[in-house]
Amino acid sequence: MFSFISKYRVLLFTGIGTWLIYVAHNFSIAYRLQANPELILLQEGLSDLTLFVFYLANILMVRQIMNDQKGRNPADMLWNVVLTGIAGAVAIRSAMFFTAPYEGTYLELFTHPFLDALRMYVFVLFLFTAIYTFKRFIFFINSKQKNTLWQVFELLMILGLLMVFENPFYIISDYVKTTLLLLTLGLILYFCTYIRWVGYLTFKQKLNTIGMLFLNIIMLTAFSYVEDLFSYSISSLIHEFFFYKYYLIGQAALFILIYSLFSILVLVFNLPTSSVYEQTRTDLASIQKIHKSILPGQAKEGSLRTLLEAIMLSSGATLGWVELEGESTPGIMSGITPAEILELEQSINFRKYALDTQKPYQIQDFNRFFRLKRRDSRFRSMLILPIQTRFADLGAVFVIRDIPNGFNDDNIEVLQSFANQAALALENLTLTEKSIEIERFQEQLAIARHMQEKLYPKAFPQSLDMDIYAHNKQSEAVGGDYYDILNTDDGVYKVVVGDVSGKGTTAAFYMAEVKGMFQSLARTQLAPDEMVMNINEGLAQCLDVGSFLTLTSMEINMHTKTARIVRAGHCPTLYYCAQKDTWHWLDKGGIALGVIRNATFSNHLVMEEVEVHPGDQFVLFTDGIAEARNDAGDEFGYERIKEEVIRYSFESAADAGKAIINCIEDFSGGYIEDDYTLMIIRLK
Amino acid sequence: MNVTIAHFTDYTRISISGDLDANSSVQADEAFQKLLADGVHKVHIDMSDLNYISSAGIGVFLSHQDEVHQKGGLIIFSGMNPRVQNVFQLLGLNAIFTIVPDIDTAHNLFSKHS
Repeated sequence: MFSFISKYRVLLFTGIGTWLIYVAHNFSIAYRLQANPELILLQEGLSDLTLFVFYLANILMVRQIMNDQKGRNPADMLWNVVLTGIAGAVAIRSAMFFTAPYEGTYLELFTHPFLDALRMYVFVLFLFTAIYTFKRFIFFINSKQKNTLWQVFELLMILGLLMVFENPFYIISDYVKTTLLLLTLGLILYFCTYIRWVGYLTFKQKLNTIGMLFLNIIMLTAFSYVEDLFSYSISSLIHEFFFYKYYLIGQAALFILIYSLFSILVLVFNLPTSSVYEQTRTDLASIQKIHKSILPGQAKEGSLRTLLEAIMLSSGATLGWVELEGESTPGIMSGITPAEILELEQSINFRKYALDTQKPYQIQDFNRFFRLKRRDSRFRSMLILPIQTRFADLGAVFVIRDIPNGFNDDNIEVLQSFANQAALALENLTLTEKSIEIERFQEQLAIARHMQEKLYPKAFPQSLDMDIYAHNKQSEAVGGDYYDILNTDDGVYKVVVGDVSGKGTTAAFYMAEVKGMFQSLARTQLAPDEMVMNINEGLAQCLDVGSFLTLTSMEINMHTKTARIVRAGHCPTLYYCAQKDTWHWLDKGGIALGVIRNATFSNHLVMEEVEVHPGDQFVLFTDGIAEARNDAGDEFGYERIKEEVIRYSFESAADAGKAIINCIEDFSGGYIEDDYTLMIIRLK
Repeated sequence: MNVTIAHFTDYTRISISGDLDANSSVQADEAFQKLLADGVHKVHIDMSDLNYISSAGIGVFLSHQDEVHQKGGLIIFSGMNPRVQNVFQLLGLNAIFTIVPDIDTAHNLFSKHS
């Protein structure tokens, strides 16, 4: 809401305003001291009221400002309080100095109330700044219960504030005052158990805070009537301090005193163990650093160096180096040279011990167990930490200290966790690199698939002569089935359906070759058997040993009304003769391509010829269809193919084709494992 | 898939049982290669316990057939079940492989051959 400066301005304004009102009223009382008794009472009552307003306004302002402040270092916040105190003390002391000359004169009537009021003003500011600062400490960790109890505390203080209205006509019993005091004390002691913030300070910060707290306590006495204190006995001091006007101040001062003393005690007792906590925090920060040091694209060296530094920092080691599996020389070194490492290794075969165990290995004192070639005071104890994941050994970290038994078990656990973190990060890096490579390969595969897609005919020659349907599916990204149909000369159709042995990329390459050859040969006048012979020759050189290729090459000539077909080792073609209304397999002879790679191949080729008429049908497919298996292991088989084809023979070629494929997919449990092709040709 | 090898005076018999698919054909191929490396080129493939053969399995025999032929050797298949036989027939492999019904016929053929 308000900016920092303006808040203080408002505070000052309110404070001084209400204080002036109070002072002015007290002057007026002092001046009219001889006025009648009723007026005196009224004036005293008003005086109490102004005091009440003064207290309330200032406390609320301080409370508001303090609650709005952002968290800072405890020592800094306390310093703020001390400054307030110093300012107040200076104000008081100078005021006392300047009014001293008027002691004993009638002006005393004015100076006393003035000093009194001033003292109360600075005291209130100081105390409540301190209280709300301490509140932040107590509320370091928040809880509902704490919140409620703080509100109770504030309530007790409000009750204490109301004590201001005590005057000769009604006395608040000592019983009430004592009870309220005890309740306040009880709550204060309860709040004293909330000193967890102490644990989070470093050693230096703890010292600073102790200093600040002491100063605060001293400030308490600065405005107090130190000189007067010694003249009072304890009981009258208490009575004086808890005199009605000062009751609230008494409560507040009690809180500050007790909490400060308690915190000082706790801080002092926690000084020796500061280093443990600091060490843990540094170690945690180191793990974070190591974790962050491996980013994609970062060199390994950077992260290994971070690891070595973290380990050396945490363990107090003076020398160290990192070795990676598969590298003969240490990658990262600190404080030691390769020659020295070699020399050390020659005297003590520590490596042998390191490799035998999968856990951290210590050599506690070089002097005791081994004879060094030349004693080096820097080498006294050594720790070897494996850098490994569950699956792989990546290397090890070696660190040396110049004192014996330099490494303790607790610390070694932490150090090993550093090494494990680094190992995970390194592994991550490798995996990332690999997966990038795999992604590249997959891209290439996708391109191959795309290219192969293009090799299949996009559309079939729309013709008045026939109704054609063809469908192909590959089991992997790219496959070895092939089909094509060409209408070279209006009325002469050249068809091929083929299947390369094997699957995948190799098969796809051969398939592409066959397409090329078919497309060129089909544009010539060569008969199907001549075409097959040429393709065999063309492939003879490049087909892998042991690879072969089957295909059916067919030519339908609408002028001569004949179809010629060559089955080169391929599945037989199903043929329907409309005139005779018969279905039979065109399965004469034949040999696959690549089985015989010389001229004698042609001896084994057989070409069948049939007369064709409108209504005739040809169904070609690859063995993916015939060999589709169900759960029992039965193959779909030629008989079933024939049955299904006949069943759908009156549908259009496309509908029949889709229905037949659905049927086969159902048979084989939802999808067909192999590459498959189905082609249906119906003469109109 | 199991491969058993038996040596005879005139020839060596490889008995293959089970399924000869893409995975198991590697094993069969290694066995065959080893035989050839040892100088054997009269090979009897006993398929009486062979259930199924894939194109990879066929590839194994095709790939070694040239070498055997060049060395004046001979490969004889026997004991094929109808399904395997059908595969061989469809592909037209009868043209280059000698296929006989049973072991004895094969044995006799080898004796005659040498």
